[in-house]
Amino acid sequence: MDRTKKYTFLALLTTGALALSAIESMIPLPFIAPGAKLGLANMVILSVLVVFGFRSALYVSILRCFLFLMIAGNPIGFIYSLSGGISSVIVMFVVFKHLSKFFSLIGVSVFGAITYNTAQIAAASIILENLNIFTYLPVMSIMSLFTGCFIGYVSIFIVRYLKDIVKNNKRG
Amino acid sequence: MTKCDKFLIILVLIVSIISIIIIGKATSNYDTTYAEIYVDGNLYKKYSLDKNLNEVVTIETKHGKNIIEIEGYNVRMIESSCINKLCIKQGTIHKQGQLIVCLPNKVVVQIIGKNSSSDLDTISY
Repeated sequence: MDRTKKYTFLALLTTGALALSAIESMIPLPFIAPGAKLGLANMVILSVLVVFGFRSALYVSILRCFLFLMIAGNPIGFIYSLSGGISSVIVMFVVFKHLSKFFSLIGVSVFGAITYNTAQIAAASIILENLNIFTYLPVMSIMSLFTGCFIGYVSIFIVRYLKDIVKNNKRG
Repeated sequence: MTKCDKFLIILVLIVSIISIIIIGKATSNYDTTYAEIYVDGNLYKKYSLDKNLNEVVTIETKHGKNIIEIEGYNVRMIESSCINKLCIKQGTIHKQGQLIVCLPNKVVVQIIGKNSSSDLDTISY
């Protein structure tokens, strides 16, 4: 796949991630802890990480945060999603690169979800200058187990099709 | 799903449940409780909670407006100018350690407990 094609493809995937975050914000969830959400955009980012590599995934993740800031207009939420997004991509990359013998994409996704929440809570505690916010962490990590499993399972299918598409493009 | 995946999930589940229990234990058994309202990381007001207390606190800062209601031992956010209103959805808090956080407006309400009698629960010989 040449560069132009790759960038076009990544742009399309970023749009997909953006659309998923927009849809996600419309889905009403039972209130469990502040900031608990499905993390549907992580599905795209995890697939990009597997198919295109670390750098592309980081770009898609950062771009998604910026673009979602423009849709939602929530600068404080932007800080949390950016810190969570960057750190979860880094952790998912490390786990995928070095520990993929042990963990399938489900495990990678669970790692990513937990990192996302931890980074988000850390950012919140720095901004609010209040360490007690960490008491939300256990509840959030149980939540992220469920969403992480789901996202990882879906990503396995996405990766299968994405790899096919990328391969066919190389030939044609 | 590999074996390690399952191991990871079970490990996280156990650690989380244990820490929820520990947090729950650490936050009970107090004689007096205080409601502390923080704005921007600084203490804004502190109330000693009492069953006759009935107070409505209005906070207006450059971040936005919040109205907090204190009724007896229960504290809740009744109005906020933030976008997502998560602080209102957090409902009523009354136990030590519980928090209401309004991230956009940088308002944190937390309940602090204190034992007025002694620091020891029981003494055994």
